[in-house]
Amino acid sequence: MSLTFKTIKEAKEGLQNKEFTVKELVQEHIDRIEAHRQLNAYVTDTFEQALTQAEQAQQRYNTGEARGLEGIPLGIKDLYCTKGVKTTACSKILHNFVPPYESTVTQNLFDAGAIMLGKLNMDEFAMGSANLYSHFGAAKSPWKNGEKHLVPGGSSGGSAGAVAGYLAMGATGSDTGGSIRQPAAFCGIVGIKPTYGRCSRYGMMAFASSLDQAGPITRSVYDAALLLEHMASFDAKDATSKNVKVPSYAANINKDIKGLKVGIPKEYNMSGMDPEIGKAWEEAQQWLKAQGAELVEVSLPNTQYALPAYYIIAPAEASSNLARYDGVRYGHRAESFENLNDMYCSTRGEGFGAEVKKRLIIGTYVLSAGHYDAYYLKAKKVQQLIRNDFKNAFKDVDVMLTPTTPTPAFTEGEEPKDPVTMYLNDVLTVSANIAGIPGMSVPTHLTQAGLPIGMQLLGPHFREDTLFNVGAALEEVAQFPMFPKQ
Amino acid sequence: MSKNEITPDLVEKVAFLARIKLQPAEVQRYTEDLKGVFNWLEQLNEVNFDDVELEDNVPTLLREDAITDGNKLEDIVHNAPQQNFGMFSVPKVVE
Repeated sequence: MSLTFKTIKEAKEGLQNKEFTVKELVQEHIDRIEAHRQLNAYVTDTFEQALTQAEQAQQRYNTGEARGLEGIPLGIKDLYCTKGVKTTACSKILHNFVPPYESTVTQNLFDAGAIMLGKLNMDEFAMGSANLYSHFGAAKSPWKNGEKHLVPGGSSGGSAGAVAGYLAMGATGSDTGGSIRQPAAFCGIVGIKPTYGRCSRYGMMAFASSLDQAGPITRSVYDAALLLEHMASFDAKDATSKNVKVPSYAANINKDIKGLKVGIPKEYNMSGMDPEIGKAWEEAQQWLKAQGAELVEVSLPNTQYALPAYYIIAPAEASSNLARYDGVRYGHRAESFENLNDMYCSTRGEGFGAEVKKRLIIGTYVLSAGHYDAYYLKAKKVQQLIRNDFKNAFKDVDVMLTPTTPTPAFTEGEEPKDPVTMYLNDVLTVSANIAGIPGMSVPTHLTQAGLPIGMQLLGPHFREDTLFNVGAALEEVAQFPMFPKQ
Repeated sequence: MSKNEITPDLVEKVAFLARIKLQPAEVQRYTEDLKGVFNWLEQLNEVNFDDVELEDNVPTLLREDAITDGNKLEDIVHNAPQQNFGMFSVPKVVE
Protein backbone atom coordinates (compact mmCIF):
# COMPACT_ATOMS: atom_id res chain seq x y z
CA MET A 1 0.00 0.00 0.00
CA SER A 2 1.25 3.47 -0.89
CA LEU A 3 2.76 5.48 1.93
CA THR A 4 0.61 8.41 0.81
CA PHE A 5 -2.47 6.72 2.31
CA LYS A 6 -1.13 7.00 5.84
CA THR A 7 -2.26 9.63 8.31
CA ILE A 8 0.38 11.93 9.78
CA LYS A 9 0.22 9.95 13.02
CA GLU A 10 0.85 6.68 11.19
CA ALA A 11 3.65 8.18 9.10
CA LYS A 12 5.43 9.51 12.18
CA GLU A 13 5.27 6.06 13.77
CA GLY A 14 6.55 4.42 10.60
CA LEU A 15 9.45 6.86 10.39
CA GLN A 16 10.31 6.42 14.04
CA ASN A 17 10.26 2.62 13.68
CA LYS A 18 12.42 2.83 10.51
CA GLU A 19 9.74 1.06 8.42
CA PHE A 20 10.47 3.49 5.58
CA THR A 21 12.55 6.61 5.02
CA VAL A 22 11.52 10.25 4.75
CA LYS A 23 12.77 10.22 1.18
CA GLU A 24 10.49 7.30 0.29
CA LEU A 25 7.56 9.08 1.90
CA VAL A 26 8.26 12.31 0.02
CA GLN A 27 9.00 10.56 -3.28
CA GLU A 28 5.72 8.62 -3.18
CA HIS A 29 3.88 11.91 -2.72
CA ILE A 30 5.75 13.48 -5.63
CA ASP A 31 4.91 10.50 -7.85
CA ARG A 32 1.27 10.66 -6.89
CA ILE A 33 1.09 14.42 -7.52
CA GLU A 34 2.59 13.85 -10.99
CA ALA A 35 0.02 11.12 -11.66
CA HIS A 36 -2.94 13.28 -10.57
CA ARG A 37 -2.30 16.57 -12.34
CA GLN A 38 -5.93 16.58 -13.48
CA LEU A 39 -6.94 17.62 -9.95
CA ASN A 40 -4.97 20.86 -10.49
CA ALA A 41 -4.22 20.94 -6.77
CA TYR A 42 -0.71 22.37 -6.94
CA VAL A 43 0.11 25.63 -8.72
CA THR A 44 3.83 25.56 -7.83
CA ASP A 45 5.95 22.49 -7.01
CA THR A 46 8.92 22.54 -4.67
CA PHE A 47 9.97 18.91 -5.16
CA GLU A 48 13.71 19.51 -5.25
CA GLN A 49 13.68 21.43 -2.00
CA ALA A 50 11.42 18.75 -0.51
CA LEU A 51 13.88 15.99 -1.36
CA THR A 52 16.78 17.96 0.09
CA GLN A 53 14.78 18.58 3.27
CA ALA A 54 13.92 14.88 3.34
CA GLU A 55 17.58 14.00 3.73
CA GLN A 56 18.00 16.45 6.58
CA ALA A 57 14.87 15.10 8.25
CA GLN A 58 16.14 11.55 7.91
CA GLN A 59 19.36 12.57 9.65
CA ARG A 60 17.32 13.74 12.60
CA TYR A 61 15.40 10.47 12.78
CA ASN A 62 18.71 8.61 12.62
CA THR A 63 20.17 10.62 15.47
CA GLY A 64 17.00 10.65 17.55
CA GLU A 65 16.45 14.38 17.13
CA ALA A 66 13.18 14.28 15.19
CA ARG A 67 10.86 17.21 15.89
CA GLY A 68 7.03 17.19 16.05
CA LEU A 69 6.39 17.09 12.31
CA GLU A 70 9.78 15.82 11.16
CA GLY A 71 9.66 14.68 7.55
CA ILE A 72 5.90 15.11 7.10
CA PRO A 73 5.09 16.30 3.55
CA LEU A 74 2.52 19.10 3.47
CA GLY A 75 0.93 21.36 0.88
CA ILE A 76 0.79 25.10 1.54
CA LYS A 77 -2.09 27.26 0.35
CA ASP A 78 -0.75 29.83 -2.11
CA LEU A 79 -1.60 32.80 0.10
CA TYR A 80 1.09 32.00 2.68
CA CYS A 81 4.24 33.89 1.75
CA THR A 82 7.08 31.42 1.38
CA LYS A 83 10.53 32.92 1.16
CA GLY A 84 11.99 32.52 -2.31
CA VAL A 85 9.01 30.47 -3.54
CA LYS A 86 6.47 32.11 -5.82
CA THR A 87 3.28 33.08 -3.96
CA THR A 88 0.39 34.40 -6.03
CA ALA A 89 -2.90 34.08 -4.11
CA CYS A 90 -3.85 32.52 -7.47
CA SER A 91 -4.23 35.98 -8.98
CA LYS A 92 -2.85 37.31 -12.22
CA ILE A 93 -1.92 40.49 -10.39
CA LEU A 94 0.67 38.54 -8.33
CA HIS A 95 1.53 35.91 -10.93
CA ASN A 96 5.29 36.54 -10.57
CA PHE A 97 5.57 37.54 -6.91
CA VAL A 98 8.42 35.90 -4.98
CA PRO A 99 8.21 36.85 -1.30
CA PRO A 100 11.42 37.97 0.39
CA TYR A 101 10.12 36.67 3.72
CA GLU A 102 8.36 33.70 5.30
CA SER A 103 4.93 33.71 6.90
CA THR A 104 4.93 32.91 10.61
CA VAL A 105 2.67 29.88 10.18
CA THR A 106 4.86 28.24 7.54
CA GLN A 107 8.00 29.12 9.51
CA ASN A 108 6.48 27.41 12.56
CA LEU A 109 5.72 24.31 10.48
CA PHE A 110 9.23 24.19 9.02
CA ASP A 111 10.72 24.70 12.48
CA ALA A 112 8.82 21.55 13.52
CA GLY A 113 10.38 19.64 10.62
CA ALA A 114 7.52 19.69 8.11
CA ILE A 115 8.39 19.48 4.41
CA MET A 116 6.64 21.57 1.75
CA LEU A 117 5.68 19.74 -1.47
CA GLY A 118 4.41 22.89 -3.17
CA LYS A 119 1.86 25.69 -3.19
CA LEU A 120 -1.82 24.85 -3.45
CA ASN A 121 -4.55 26.19 -5.69
CA MET A 122 -7.25 28.44 -4.22
CA ASP A 123 -9.91 30.93 -5.21
CA GLU A 124 -8.22 34.19 -6.12
CA PHE A 125 -7.42 36.08 -2.90
CA ALA A 126 -9.54 33.49 -1.06
CA MET A 127 -12.77 34.87 -2.52
CA GLY A 128 -14.95 31.96 -3.55
CA SER A 129 -16.45 28.71 -2.35
CA ALA A 130 -15.93 26.29 -5.25
CA ASN A 131 -12.35 27.02 -6.37
CA LEU A 132 -13.72 28.11 -9.74
CA TYR A 133 -12.12 31.57 -9.43
CA SER A 134 -8.41 30.73 -9.65
CA HIS A 135 -6.18 32.40 -12.25
CA PHE A 136 -4.61 28.95 -12.75
CA GLY A 137 -7.88 27.16 -13.47
CA ALA A 138 -10.27 25.29 -11.19
CA ALA A 139 -8.98 22.78 -8.66
CA LYS A 140 -10.99 19.57 -8.51
CA SER A 141 -12.08 17.23 -5.77
CA PRO A 142 -10.99 13.63 -6.26
CA TRP A 143 -14.61 12.71 -5.47
CA LYS A 144 -16.93 12.33 -8.43
CA ASN A 145 -20.65 12.36 -9.05
CA GLY A 146 -20.99 9.86 -11.89
CA GLU A 147 -18.17 10.62 -14.30
CA LYS A 148 -17.63 14.24 -13.31
CA HIS A 149 -15.35 15.51 -10.56
CA LEU A 150 -17.03 17.50 -7.82
CA VAL A 151 -15.82 20.99 -7.00
CA PRO A 152 -13.54 20.83 -3.92
CA GLY A 153 -15.19 23.86 -2.30
CA GLY A 154 -13.30 27.02 -1.61
CA SER A 155 -11.45 29.01 -1.08
CA SER A 156 -8.98 26.37 0.19
CA GLY A 157 -10.03 24.05 -2.65
CA GLY A 158 -6.53 22.97 -3.68
CA SER A 159 -5.73 22.22 -0.03
CA ALA A 160 -8.83 20.06 0.44
CA GLY A 161 -8.48 18.32 -2.94
CA ALA A 162 -4.82 17.53 -2.28
CA VAL A 163 -5.42 16.11 1.19
CA ALA A 164 -8.51 14.10 0.18
CA GLY A 165 -6.69 12.74 -2.89
CA TYR A 166 -3.54 11.75 -0.93
CA LEU A 167 -1.37 14.38 -2.62
CA ALA A 168 -0.29 15.72 0.80
CA MET A 169 -0.58 14.39 4.36
CA GLY A 170 -2.04 17.69 5.45
CA ALA A 171 -2.32 21.25 4.21
CA THR A 172 -2.65 24.78 5.43
CA GLY A 173 -5.88 26.57 4.66
CA SER A 174 -7.29 29.94 5.57
CA ASP A 175 -10.84 30.71 6.59
CA THR A 176 -12.54 34.11 6.33
CA GLY A 177 -16.15 32.92 6.03
CA GLY A 178 -15.84 29.14 5.80
CA SER A 179 -12.88 28.63 3.47
CA ILE A 180 -11.38 25.76 5.52
CA ARG A 181 -14.53 24.06 6.81
CA GLN A 182 -16.64 24.12 3.64
CA PRO A 183 -13.96 22.52 1.39
CA ALA A 184 -13.18 20.00 4.14
CA ALA A 185 -16.87 19.05 4.19
CA PHE A 186 -17.09 18.90 0.38
CA CYS A 187 -14.03 16.61 0.19
CA GLY A 188 -14.82 14.33 3.15
CA ILE A 189 -11.92 15.39 5.39
CA VAL A 190 -11.25 17.41 8.56
CA GLY A 191 -10.66 21.16 8.73
CA ILE A 192 -10.52 23.56 11.64
CA LYS A 193 -10.70 27.32 11.76
CA PRO A 194 -9.27 28.20 15.14
CA THR A 195 -10.15 31.16 17.33
CA TYR A 196 -9.32 34.53 15.78
CA GLY A 197 -5.84 35.34 17.06
CA ARG A 198 -4.77 31.71 17.62
CA CYS A 199 -2.47 31.72 14.56
CA SER A 200 -0.43 34.65 13.36
CA ARG A 201 -1.61 36.30 10.14
CA TYR A 202 1.88 37.65 9.43
CA GLY A 203 2.77 36.75 5.86
CA MET A 204 -0.72 35.59 4.91
CA MET A 205 -2.08 37.69 2.09
CA ALA A 206 -4.85 39.69 3.69
CA PHE A 207 -8.45 39.40 2.49
CA ALA A 208 -10.53 40.62 5.46
CA SER A 209 -8.12 41.16 8.32
CA SER A 210 -10.67 41.08 11.15
CA LEU A 211 -12.00 37.68 9.99
CA ASP A 212 -9.05 35.84 8.33
CA GLN A 213 -7.61 32.95 10.27
CA ALA A 214 -5.17 30.17 9.40
CA GLY A 215 -5.92 26.52 10.06
CA PRO A 216 -5.08 22.97 9.00
CA ILE A 217 -6.85 20.54 6.66
CA THR A 218 -6.16 16.84 7.33
CA ARG A 219 -7.60 13.34 7.06
CA SER A 220 -8.10 12.84 10.79
CA VAL A 221 -9.02 14.86 13.86
CA TYR A 222 -5.76 13.85 15.55
CA ASP A 223 -3.74 15.12 12.59
CA ALA A 224 -5.62 18.43 12.64
CA ALA A 225 -4.83 18.81 16.34
CA LEU A 226 -1.17 18.02 15.70
CA LEU A 227 -0.82 20.48 12.83
CA LEU A 228 -2.66 23.24 14.66
CA GLU A 229 -0.45 23.01 17.73
CA HIS A 230 2.55 23.56 15.47
CA MET A 231 0.96 26.35 13.39
CA ALA A 232 -0.34 28.40 16.31
CA SER A 233 1.79 30.93 18.14
CA PHE A 234 1.72 34.38 19.60
CA ASP A 235 3.52 36.68 17.21
CA ALA A 236 4.56 40.25 17.85
CA LYS A 237 4.36 40.81 14.08
CA ASP A 238 0.56 40.35 14.16
CA ALA A 239 -1.00 42.76 16.64
CA THR A 240 -4.21 40.69 16.62
CA SER A 241 -2.53 37.43 17.55
CA LYS A 242 -3.23 36.49 21.16
CA ASN A 243 -0.72 35.64 23.84
CA VAL A 244 -2.53 32.51 24.99
CA LYS A 245 -0.56 29.32 25.65
CA VAL A 246 -0.82 26.73 22.86
CA PRO A 247 -1.78 23.42 24.47
CA SER A 248 -0.65 19.99 23.24
CA TYR A 249 -3.91 19.49 21.43
CA ALA A 250 -3.15 16.08 19.92
CA ALA A 251 -1.77 14.32 22.98
CA ASN A 252 -4.68 15.50 25.10
CA ILE A 253 -7.57 14.35 22.93
CA ASN A 254 -10.13 12.68 25.14
CA LYS A 255 -13.04 10.95 23.45
CA ASP A 256 -14.99 10.58 26.68
CA ILE A 257 -17.76 13.11 26.24
CA LYS A 258 -20.02 11.91 29.07
CA GLY A 259 -21.92 14.81 30.58
CA LEU A 260 -20.80 17.28 27.93
CA LYS A 261 -23.54 19.70 26.92
CA VAL A 262 -23.96 19.87 23.16
CA GLY A 263 -26.01 22.79 21.86
CA ILE A 264 -28.21 22.39 18.82
CA PRO A 265 -28.89 25.89 17.47
CA LYS A 266 -32.44 25.88 16.22
CA GLU A 267 -31.86 28.66 13.68
CA TYR A 268 -29.45 26.41 11.78
CA ASN A 269 -32.36 24.20 10.77
CA MET A 270 -33.01 26.44 7.79
CA SER A 271 -35.09 26.12 4.69
CA GLY A 272 -33.06 25.08 1.70
CA MET A 273 -31.07 22.53 3.65
CA ASP A 274 -30.69 19.28 1.77
CA PRO A 275 -32.90 16.66 3.50
CA GLU A 276 -30.06 14.14 3.53
CA ILE A 277 -27.91 16.63 5.43
CA GLY A 278 -30.76 17.27 7.87
CA LYS A 279 -30.99 13.52 8.47
CA ALA A 280 -27.24 13.19 8.96
CA TRP A 281 -27.39 16.02 11.52
CA GLU A 282 -30.14 14.19 13.43
CA GLU A 283 -28.10 11.02 13.45
CA ALA A 284 -24.91 12.76 14.58
CA GLN A 285 -26.86 14.23 17.52
CA GLN A 286 -27.99 10.75 18.50
CA TRP A 287 -24.43 9.43 18.28
CA LEU A 288 -23.23 12.03 20.76
CA LYS A 289 -26.20 11.37 23.04
CA ALA A 290 -25.49 7.64 22.98
CA GLN A 291 -21.99 8.44 24.23
CA GLY A 292 -23.36 10.28 27.22
CA ALA A 293 -23.52 13.86 25.95
CA GLU A 294 -26.55 15.94 26.78
CA LEU A 295 -28.33 17.61 23.86
CA VAL A 296 -29.58 21.13 24.55
CA GLU A 297 -31.56 23.27 22.13
CA VAL A 298 -30.03 26.74 21.95
CA SER A 299 -30.99 29.90 20.10
CA LEU A 300 -28.75 32.20 18.10
CA PRO A 301 -31.44 34.67 17.05
CA ASN A 302 -29.33 36.80 14.70
CA THR A 303 -27.99 33.90 12.62
CA GLN A 304 -29.75 34.94 9.42
CA TYR A 305 -28.01 38.33 9.46
CA ALA A 306 -24.49 36.91 9.70
CA LEU A 307 -24.04 36.34 5.99
CA PRO A 308 -25.31 39.77 4.84
CA ALA A 309 -23.08 41.40 7.50
CA TYR A 310 -20.18 39.34 6.18
CA TYR A 311 -20.80 40.56 2.64
CA ILE A 312 -20.37 44.12 3.89
CA ILE A 313 -17.45 43.69 6.31
CA ALA A 314 -15.34 41.35 4.15
CA PRO A 315 -15.54 43.33 0.88
CA ALA A 316 -14.99 46.58 2.80
CA GLU A 317 -11.80 45.29 4.37
CA ALA A 318 -10.74 43.70 1.08
CA SER A 319 -11.15 46.97 -0.79
CA SER A 320 -8.69 48.51 1.62
CA ASN A 321 -6.29 45.54 1.82
CA LEU A 322 -6.12 45.01 -1.93
CA ALA A 323 -5.41 48.68 -2.63
CA ARG A 324 -1.72 47.75 -2.36
CA TYR A 325 -1.84 45.91 -5.70
CA ASP A 326 -1.24 48.90 -7.89
CA GLY A 327 1.48 47.76 -10.27
CA VAL A 328 4.19 49.83 -8.58
CA ARG A 329 5.99 47.65 -6.04
CA TYR A 330 5.23 44.09 -7.13
CA GLY A 331 3.17 41.94 -9.45
CA HIS A 332 1.51 42.73 -12.74
CA ARG A 333 1.67 46.16 -14.38
CA ALA A 334 -0.38 46.98 -17.48
CA GLU A 335 1.72 47.40 -20.60
CA SER A 336 -0.01 50.40 -22.05
CA PHE A 337 -1.53 53.35 -20.20
CA GLU A 338 -1.83 57.09 -20.59
CA ASN A 339 -0.88 58.35 -17.15
CA LEU A 340 -0.41 57.22 -13.57
CA ASN A 341 -4.12 56.94 -12.80
CA ASP A 342 -4.67 54.99 -15.97
CA MET A 343 -1.78 52.72 -15.02
CA TYR A 344 -3.49 51.88 -11.73
CA CYS A 345 -6.89 51.35 -13.36
CA SER A 346 -5.60 49.24 -16.24
CA THR A 347 -3.28 47.21 -14.02
CA ARG A 348 -6.10 46.39 -11.61
CA GLY A 349 -8.71 45.92 -14.34
CA GLU A 350 -6.46 43.38 -16.06
CA GLY A 351 -4.91 41.86 -12.96
CA PHE A 352 -7.95 41.01 -10.85
CA GLY A 353 -10.46 38.32 -11.76
CA ALA A 354 -14.21 38.89 -12.04
CA GLU A 355 -15.21 37.88 -8.52
CA VAL A 356 -12.46 39.94 -6.87
CA LYS A 357 -13.39 43.02 -8.88
CA LYS A 358 -17.01 42.62 -7.91
CA ARG A 359 -16.19 42.41 -4.22
CA LEU A 360 -13.81 45.37 -4.42
CA ILE A 361 -16.58 47.44 -5.99
CA ILE A 362 -19.03 46.36 -3.26
CA GLY A 363 -16.45 47.16 -0.59
CA THR A 364 -15.57 50.54 -2.04
CA TYR A 365 -19.23 51.43 -2.34
CA VAL A 366 -20.16 50.53 1.25
CA LEU A 367 -17.25 52.57 2.56
CA SER A 368 -17.80 55.54 0.27
CA ALA A 369 -18.95 58.89 1.62
CA GLY A 370 -22.53 58.85 2.81
CA HIS A 371 -22.90 55.06 2.93
CA TYR A 372 -20.72 54.16 5.88
CA ASP A 373 -23.50 54.32 8.49
CA ALA A 374 -25.97 52.51 6.29
CA TYR A 375 -23.70 49.55 5.63
CA TYR A 376 -20.40 49.16 7.43
CA LEU A 377 -21.51 50.49 10.80
CA LYS A 378 -24.71 48.46 10.61
CA ALA A 379 -22.75 45.33 9.77
CA LYS A 380 -20.39 45.90 12.69
CA LYS A 381 -23.42 46.16 14.97
CA VAL A 382 -24.78 42.89 13.58
CA GLN A 383 -21.39 41.41 14.36
CA GLN A 384 -21.74 42.58 17.95
CA LEU A 385 -25.21 41.03 18.19
CA ILE A 386 -23.88 37.72 16.88
CA ARG A 387 -20.99 37.77 19.34
CA ASN A 388 -23.52 38.39 22.12
CA ASP A 389 -25.69 35.51 20.87
CA PHE A 390 -22.79 33.07 21.14
CA LYS A 391 -21.67 34.43 24.49
CA ASN A 392 -25.14 33.85 25.89
CA ALA A 393 -25.55 30.41 24.35
CA PHE A 394 -22.16 29.21 25.59
CA LYS A 395 -23.30 29.93 29.17
CA ASP A 396 -25.47 26.82 28.79
CA VAL A 397 -23.47 24.51 26.53
CA ASP A 398 -19.86 23.43 25.96
CA VAL A 399 -20.01 23.02 22.22
CA MET A 400 -22.50 23.25 19.35
CA LEU A 401 -23.21 20.78 16.58
CA THR A 402 -24.48 21.88 13.17
CA PRO A 403 -23.99 20.73 9.59
CA THR A 404 -21.06 22.46 7.85
CA THR A 405 -22.87 23.17 4.58
CA PRO A 406 -26.56 23.26 3.61
CA THR A 407 -25.92 21.12 0.50
CA PRO A 408 -23.32 18.58 -0.58
CA ALA A 409 -20.71 19.41 -3.24
CA PHE A 410 -21.79 20.03 -6.84
CA THR A 411 -19.98 19.49 -10.11
CA GLU A 412 -18.47 22.31 -12.17
CA GLY A 413 -21.23 23.81 -14.31
CA GLU A 414 -23.86 22.91 -11.72
CA GLU A 415 -22.91 25.82 -9.46
CA PRO A 416 -25.49 28.49 -8.64
CA LYS A 417 -25.34 31.26 -11.22
CA ASP A 418 -26.55 34.19 -9.15
CA PRO A 419 -24.09 35.52 -6.58
CA VAL A 420 -26.44 35.46 -3.61
CA THR A 421 -27.20 31.74 -3.94
CA MET A 422 -23.50 31.02 -4.39
CA TYR A 423 -22.79 32.98 -1.21
CA LEU A 424 -25.24 30.74 0.72
CA ASN A 425 -22.56 28.01 0.67
CA ASP A 426 -21.09 29.79 3.67
CA VAL A 427 -24.34 30.41 5.54
CA LEU A 428 -23.60 27.87 8.31
CA THR A 429 -19.89 28.61 8.68
CA VAL A 430 -19.71 32.40 8.53
CA SER A 431 -21.02 33.11 12.05
CA ALA A 432 -17.87 31.60 13.57
CA ASN A 433 -15.75 34.16 11.71
CA ILE A 434 -18.08 36.99 12.64
CA ALA A 435 -17.89 35.96 16.31
CA GLY A 436 -14.19 35.00 16.20
CA ILE A 437 -14.87 31.55 17.70
CA PRO A 438 -13.34 28.23 16.59
CA GLY A 439 -15.20 25.89 14.22
CA MET A 440 -14.28 22.48 12.87
CA SER A 441 -15.74 20.26 10.16
CA VAL A 442 -15.63 16.48 10.54
CA PRO A 443 -16.79 14.13 7.77
CA THR A 444 -19.60 11.90 8.98
CA HIS A 445 -21.83 10.65 6.17
CA LEU A 446 -22.18 10.00 2.46
CA THR A 447 -25.35 10.91 0.62
CA GLN A 448 -27.14 8.21 -1.35
CA ALA A 449 -25.31 9.46 -4.42
CA GLY A 450 -22.02 9.00 -2.53
CA LEU A 451 -21.22 12.65 -1.78
CA PRO A 452 -19.45 13.53 1.49
CA ILE A 453 -21.31 15.35 4.29
CA GLY A 454 -19.52 17.21 7.08
CA MET A 455 -20.70 18.15 10.57
CA GLN A 456 -19.52 21.37 12.16
CA LEU A 457 -18.55 21.82 15.80
CA LEU A 458 -18.45 25.33 17.26
CA GLY A 459 -16.83 26.20 20.57
CA PRO A 460 -16.17 29.21 22.78
CA HIS A 461 -13.03 31.29 22.21
CA PHE A 462 -9.84 29.24 22.64
CA ARG A 463 -11.68 25.97 23.31
CA GLU A 464 -10.25 24.16 20.30
CA ASP A 465 -9.51 21.32 22.74
CA THR A 466 -13.25 20.69 23.17
CA LEU A 467 -13.72 20.60 19.40
CA PHE A 468 -10.97 17.99 19.07
CA ASN A 469 -12.51 15.86 21.82
CA VAL A 470 -16.00 15.89 20.37
CA GLY A 471 -14.63 15.65 16.83
CA ALA A 472 -12.66 12.54 17.73
CA ALA A 473 -15.76 11.02 19.32
CA LEU A 474 -17.81 11.76 16.19
CA GLU A 475 -15.06 10.44 13.94
CA GLU A 476 -14.95 7.16 15.82
CA VAL A 477 -18.68 6.48 15.51
CA ALA A 478 -18.99 7.77 11.95
CA GLN A 479 -16.26 5.55 10.49
CA PHE A 480 -16.48 7.80 7.46
CA PRO A 481 -15.17 6.11 4.31
CA MET A 482 -12.29 8.29 3.11
CA PHE A 483 -11.75 8.67 -0.61
CA PRO A 484 -10.83 5.19 -1.92
CA LYS A 485 -7.14 4.37 -1.46
CA GLN A 486 -6.28 3.44 -5.01
CA MET B 1 -30.11 52.16 -0.88
CA SER B 2 -32.67 50.51 -3.05
CA LYS B 3 -31.54 48.20 -5.78
CA ASN B 4 -32.99 50.58 -8.36
CA GLU B 5 -30.30 53.11 -7.54
CA ILE B 6 -27.59 50.77 -8.78
CA THR B 7 -26.99 51.99 -12.33
CA PRO B 8 -24.20 51.39 -14.83
CA ASP B 9 -23.01 54.96 -14.20
CA LEU B 10 -22.76 54.33 -10.48
CA VAL B 11 -20.87 51.07 -11.01
CA GLU B 12 -18.38 52.87 -13.24
CA LYS B 13 -17.96 55.67 -10.76
CA VAL B 14 -17.30 53.31 -7.85
CA ALA B 15 -14.99 51.19 -10.00
CA PHE B 16 -12.95 54.32 -10.67
CA LEU B 17 -12.80 55.05 -6.93
CA ALA B 18 -11.38 51.52 -6.59
CA ARG B 19 -9.05 52.23 -9.54
CA ILE B 20 -10.44 49.36 -11.61
CA LYS B 21 -11.00 49.78 -15.32
CA LEU B 22 -14.07 47.86 -16.44
CA GLN B 23 -15.04 46.69 -19.92
CA PRO B 24 -18.61 47.59 -21.00
CA ALA B 25 -19.76 43.97 -20.60
CA GLU B 26 -18.40 43.95 -17.04
CA VAL B 27 -20.28 47.14 -16.20
CA GLN B 28 -23.51 45.49 -17.32
CA ARG B 29 -22.83 42.30 -15.44
CA TYR B 30 -21.82 43.99 -12.19
CA THR B 31 -24.85 46.29 -12.36
CA GLU B 32 -27.12 43.25 -12.39
CA ASP B 33 -25.12 41.36 -9.76
CA LEU B 34 -24.95 44.35 -7.42
CA LYS B 35 -28.67 44.96 -7.68
CA GLY B 36 -29.17 41.42 -6.41
CA VAL B 37 -26.59 41.75 -3.66
CA PHE B 38 -27.81 45.13 -2.38
CA ASN B 39 -31.39 43.98 -2.49
CA TRP B 40 -30.40 41.03 -0.33
CA LEU B 41 -28.51 43.31 2.08
CA GLU B 42 -31.77 45.23 2.66
CA GLN B 43 -32.76 42.60 5.23
CA LEU B 44 -30.39 44.26 7.70
CA ASN B 45 -32.99 47.03 7.98
CA GLU B 46 -35.17 44.61 9.97
CA VAL B 47 -32.64 44.44 12.79
CA ASN B 48 -33.21 46.44 15.93
CA PHE B 49 -29.94 48.20 16.76
CA ASP B 50 -31.24 50.33 19.63
CA ASP B 51 -29.19 48.85 22.45
CA VAL B 52 -26.15 47.69 20.53
CA GLU B 53 -22.88 48.85 22.02
CA LEU B 54 -19.80 48.08 19.99
CA GLU B 55 -17.05 46.43 22.01
CA ASP B 56 -13.66 47.97 21.63
CA ASN B 57 -11.58 45.45 19.68
CA VAL B 58 -8.50 47.53 19.15
CA PRO B 59 -5.42 45.41 19.80
CA THR B 60 -3.75 46.28 23.07
CA LEU B 61 -0.48 44.47 22.50
CA LEU B 62 1.49 46.89 20.45
CA ARG B 63 5.13 46.47 19.62
CA GLU B 64 7.70 48.93 20.72
CA ASP B 65 8.19 51.50 17.98
CA ALA B 66 11.68 50.35 17.12
CA ILE B 67 13.45 49.20 13.99
CA THR B 68 13.83 45.42 14.04
CA ASP B 69 15.44 44.85 10.67
CA GLY B 70 16.86 46.77 7.76
CA ASN B 71 19.15 46.75 4.74
CA LYS B 72 16.43 45.04 2.69
CA LEU B 73 16.57 47.33 -0.31
CA GLU B 74 17.43 44.60 -2.81
CA ASP B 75 14.74 42.30 -1.36
CA ILE B 76 12.17 45.06 -1.60
CA VAL B 77 12.73 46.32 -5.13
CA HIS B 78 13.33 42.79 -6.39
CA ASN B 79 9.63 42.26 -7.23
CA ALA B 80 9.03 45.66 -8.80
CA PRO B 81 7.66 45.64 -12.36
CA GLN B 82 10.12 48.44 -13.10
CA GLN B 83 13.02 49.74 -11.04
CA ASN B 84 15.94 52.07 -11.53
CA PHE B 85 18.85 52.88 -9.23
CA GLY B 86 17.30 50.82 -6.43
CA MET B 87 14.01 52.71 -6.64
CA PHE B 88 10.52 51.94 -7.91
CA SER B 89 9.99 53.42 -11.32
CA VAL B 90 6.61 54.92 -12.24
CA PRO B 91 5.28 57.06 -15.11
CA LYS B 92 5.86 60.77 -14.86
CA VAL B 93 3.35 62.36 -12.45
CA VAL B 94 4.36 66.01 -12.44
CA GLU B 95 4.39 67.86 -15.75
